[in-house]
Parts: sequence; structure tokens; C-alpha cells
Amino acid sequence: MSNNDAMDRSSLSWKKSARHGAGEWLAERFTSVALIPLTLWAAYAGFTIAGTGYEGALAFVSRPLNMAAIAATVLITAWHMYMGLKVIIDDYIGKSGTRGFLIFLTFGLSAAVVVATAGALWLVYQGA
Amino acid sequence: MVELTLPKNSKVKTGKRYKVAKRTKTTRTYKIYRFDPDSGENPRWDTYEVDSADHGPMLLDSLIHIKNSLDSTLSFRRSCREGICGSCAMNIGGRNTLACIKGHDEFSGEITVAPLPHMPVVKDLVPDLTGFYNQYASIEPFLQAKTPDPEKERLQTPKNRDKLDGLYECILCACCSTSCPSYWWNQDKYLGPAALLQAYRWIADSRDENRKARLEALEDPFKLYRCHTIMNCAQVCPKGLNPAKAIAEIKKLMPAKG
Repeated sequence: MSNNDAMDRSSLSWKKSARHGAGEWLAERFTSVALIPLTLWAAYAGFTIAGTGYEGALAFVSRPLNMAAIAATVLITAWHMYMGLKVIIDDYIGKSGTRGFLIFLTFGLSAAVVVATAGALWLVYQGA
Repeated sequence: MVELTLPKNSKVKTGKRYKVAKRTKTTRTYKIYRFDPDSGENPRWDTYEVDSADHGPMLLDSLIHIKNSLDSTLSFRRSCREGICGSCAMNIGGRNTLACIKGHDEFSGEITVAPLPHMPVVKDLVPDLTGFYNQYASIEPFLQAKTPDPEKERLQTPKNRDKLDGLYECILCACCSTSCPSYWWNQDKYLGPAALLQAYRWIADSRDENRKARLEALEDPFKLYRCHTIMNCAQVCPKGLNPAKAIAEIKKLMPAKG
């Protein structure tokens, strides 16, 4: 057995806990539930925009309610994506250095999606 | 960590074959995992042909018959032979179970018998469960009360007693934990279904007065939250218990622990 061998740990060491996890668990559930209506809305938005061209898409996004819905969808999707990928990395990557680096990359990617969306919405807002 | 290939010294070779003089309708073939760390050799699959008319109906009877009459070097744990001690937990026909309550007639064709998966092997079908027992000890599996001991027993309403059904029956055979992929990859960090079911057994006990501390000790992304409700634990439990449900109950209690 390699480093997944539990034999090296005493029962005393198992008593320690990180004292967090419940918040992340709740956040996973919250984002999952929130994404049900938001994904349906995103599908509706896609069908609405389809075929209207650049000007039509711009007009759709410029509406305050649509802008808020886009912001909420992207933010919650990115948050959900980060948490989901983090769980997979935690599950399968044993080396703490590699794990930390991959989680950092995932966070960076998720944050970049949010920042890019915020920037795009800001530009649309300025131009509207 | 996840291991997609076996280490060199764990690759299983083909071993010896013990044939019967003449195969009959009652002849069964057992492919059994053999490993002796003292020999320095890789593990191997030995094949035994046995006439099932010569022994009792259970897989444990088959193994005892093989040890007594064909190959005395075969090692396995066994004790109660009635599904209450958990000693003969092993992987039979690709599924963790107790050899003593699994009939050989429940399988068709060749029957593979291997030790509980992803555990260090002491010899043949005997896994090293030291880590598993350390995990169990860490959840403090005993009643903890701050109030002084009453003159007689600590009383419990029938309704509260019912909450322990489906929990107290666990025999710690390790079938569930060693069938769990999360436990395979992270058994040095994740407590596993058996220890968590036992943890909930005490959290759910109305007589225990240490619930908050028990929950705090479990709140950890790895110790508890590696359970992804894969449900292998519930599928293989020879006592018909549902460790995944117990873990879900702990998760539900956790945010409101105060």
C-alpha cells in the first residue's frame, strides 16, 4: 500500500478535525438548487436571442432584469463548478502540493469566468 | 490517492491448480487469492476443484474443506460461522460479504475468493484492519454522559430506542468501508462508512450527552464529506444496514450543531 494506507495513523490522530465542511456542504446544495431555475432561464435566453443577431443580443442583455439573471447564473455556475472540481481533485489527487496547485488553478479559472462576465456586463451597461 | 494500476509486487499471477479425479455435477471451482509476504513472491490465483457434496452449504464450509483436505497453507479468518462476528468478511464473486452466510449455490461457474479490497494483506484472505480499528476507536464508541450515573440503568423511551435500529446491528466486518471507492482512495483521511455509521449510532442515542462534541469532531472535509452517496456500502452490508443513510443524517445535523 502507498500513502493511502491508514495504518500509520493512530486513533488519537483521527480525533482531530478541520472544524469546517458543513458550510461547503450547504453551499453545494444551495448552488445546485439555485441552478435549476437559472439553467431553465439560460435556456430560455438562448432561444430568445437565437437568430436576433448582435444588435438583438445586445438589446436582450441590456435589460436590467436579464443582466441580473446573467450575472447570477454565471456567478453561481462558477461557484458550483469550482466546488465540484475541488471535490474531484480532493478525491483523486493525494499529493498535497499537486492538489493545492490544481485547486488554485480551478479557482483561478472560475474567478476568471466571473470577472470576464462582470467586465462584459459592465461594458454593455456603459454602452446602454 | 487513486491508483489505476497495481504496484509491481501486487500483480497477481496464475498459481497452482488442484484438480478432482473426476468432475461431477456437484463439482465447484474456486479461484482463491494467495499471498505470503514471507515468500517475497507476488500474489497468485490458486484454483481448487471441490465436490460440494463433501462439505456444507456455505462458502466458509468450502474454504474449511479446502484447508482441511486440499491445502492446509490457505489462511483465512473465521469464528462464529453464523454472521455475527464479521471475521470471515472477504470478497466473493466480486462482492464483499461474509463467507459464513453466503451459499456456494448462489454463484454460477467459477467462484473467485479474494481478501477485502484495497487493504494491506497479512496473508491470503487475511487483511490488515489496524487502520480500520483505529478509525473506529477515534469516534469514541461508548456512552458519554455528564450527568451523574443513576442508581439503575439510564432509561430511554421506546421511540428513542427505535432510533438505534439499523445502527446497533453493525458487526464491524469492514465489508462496507472496503467496498467504498472514496475509502479506497482516501482511507488515510476518510473515516469510511463503518466508523461513520458507528459515530451516528452514538449521536442518535438519546442517553449520550456529548452530541455537540461528537459532531464537531466529525466536521472535516475529508473525515466525513468524502462520502458521495455511492451506496456500495448499503449494497454489500451483510446485515442489511445502510451506512450511507447514517452519514446523510450526520451531514443534516452538522450545520445546526450550534
